[in-house]
Amino acid sequence: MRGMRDRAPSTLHFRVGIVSTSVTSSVRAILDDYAALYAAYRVEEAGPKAIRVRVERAPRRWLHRRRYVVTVNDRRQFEPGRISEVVPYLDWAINWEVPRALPEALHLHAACLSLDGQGLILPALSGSGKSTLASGLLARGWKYLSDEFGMIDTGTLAVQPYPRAICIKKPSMAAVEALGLPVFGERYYLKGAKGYVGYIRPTDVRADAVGSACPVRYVVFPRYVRGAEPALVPISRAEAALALHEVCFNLLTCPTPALGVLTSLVRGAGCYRLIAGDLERTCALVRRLMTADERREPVSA
Amino acid sequence: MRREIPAGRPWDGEAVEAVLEDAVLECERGSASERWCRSGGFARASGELTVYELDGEALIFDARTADTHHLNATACHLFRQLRETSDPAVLADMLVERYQIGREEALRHVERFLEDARRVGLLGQAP
Repeated sequence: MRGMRDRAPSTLHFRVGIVSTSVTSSVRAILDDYAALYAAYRVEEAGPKAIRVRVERAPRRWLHRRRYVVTVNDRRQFEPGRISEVVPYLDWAINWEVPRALPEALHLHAACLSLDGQGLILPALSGSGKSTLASGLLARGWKYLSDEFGMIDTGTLAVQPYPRAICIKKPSMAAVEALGLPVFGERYYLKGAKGYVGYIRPTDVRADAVGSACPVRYVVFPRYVRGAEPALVPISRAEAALALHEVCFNLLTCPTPALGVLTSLVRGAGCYRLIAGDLERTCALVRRLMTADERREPVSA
Repeated sequence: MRREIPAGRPWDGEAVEAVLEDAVLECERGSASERWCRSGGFARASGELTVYELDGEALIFDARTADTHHLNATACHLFRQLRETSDPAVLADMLVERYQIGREEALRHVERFLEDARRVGLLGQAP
């Protein structure tokens, strides 16, 4: 039985960088919310190889709270329980499918930005502070490519844009808001173990905030340490390639041998580990790295 | 199976050549085995290992286990030398010459490297 707020399913199409998605739902609030979050990327027609996502209410069961079902390309992916969880899970479901939809690219768990057409990738596992750092750099005039996916074209080695809304955990939001970045809708969503998260739409920061595909000049592995003095420590290219290998989503399914692509990628890049502390000072440090000639000694704040 | 000169054909040129060929092969195998015993192994066949060198270091992808190994500059140099020899003494002499370090220290590095390489499966049977 359809709820009062439901209607006939509608489908909206989006093109976020090189990723096309079609989102279908009969739950009006969810579709409207998602459409507002990605308003800048709405397109009229589904792109080729579009990822099809659908969100519906699960049938109500006796004594059980009603749930939502998120399916991606007809596979059941998530069952969030609250409506405030649906948009993050919808985004997450799309992310799960991206390496499958675009197998020809190498997908790294990384935030990516560019400055004057030179790419910076910030590979790290969740909780390392890469989205917060990406927001900080975006506020300082960098072009935004992605906060979650470093998509490397295996032919040109360029990093491709996938400028989804930046997902910031609530504890980091104060630092981001201090930079003047607007939180989408001034509201928070619940995202599993991450707790409450807010979104920043890059196009709310500047109309030209999103960058285009570019070569990778620096590979910087960030790790947030509360109260630490920000520091950049050079690492060997082999160490960097191995660390990239460890954050690769499609290591075994990419048709081009991943390690070969990664070694070629780092040959032309400066590679560092970054101890990230205070956001302002960390951003200033990274900026100095990008604007100075490549150095092989530690760069301190 | 070892070939022998057939009875009644002591001057058969082909048969003698075949036996000599076996003897040469056996000699090579013998010397190879001797080196294997001394050092513990040779670099495995390159078909199973894909080696990417970067600024003197190396990343090795092992197709058999899907493991990736990082070799620093010293280990990379030693790994390259393993194609020629796996004698710890010879390898240590190479390190002494290259890095200007004492022979004892070089030998420790070599033995540690061979032990690690054997443990992660980078060394194979002698050819």
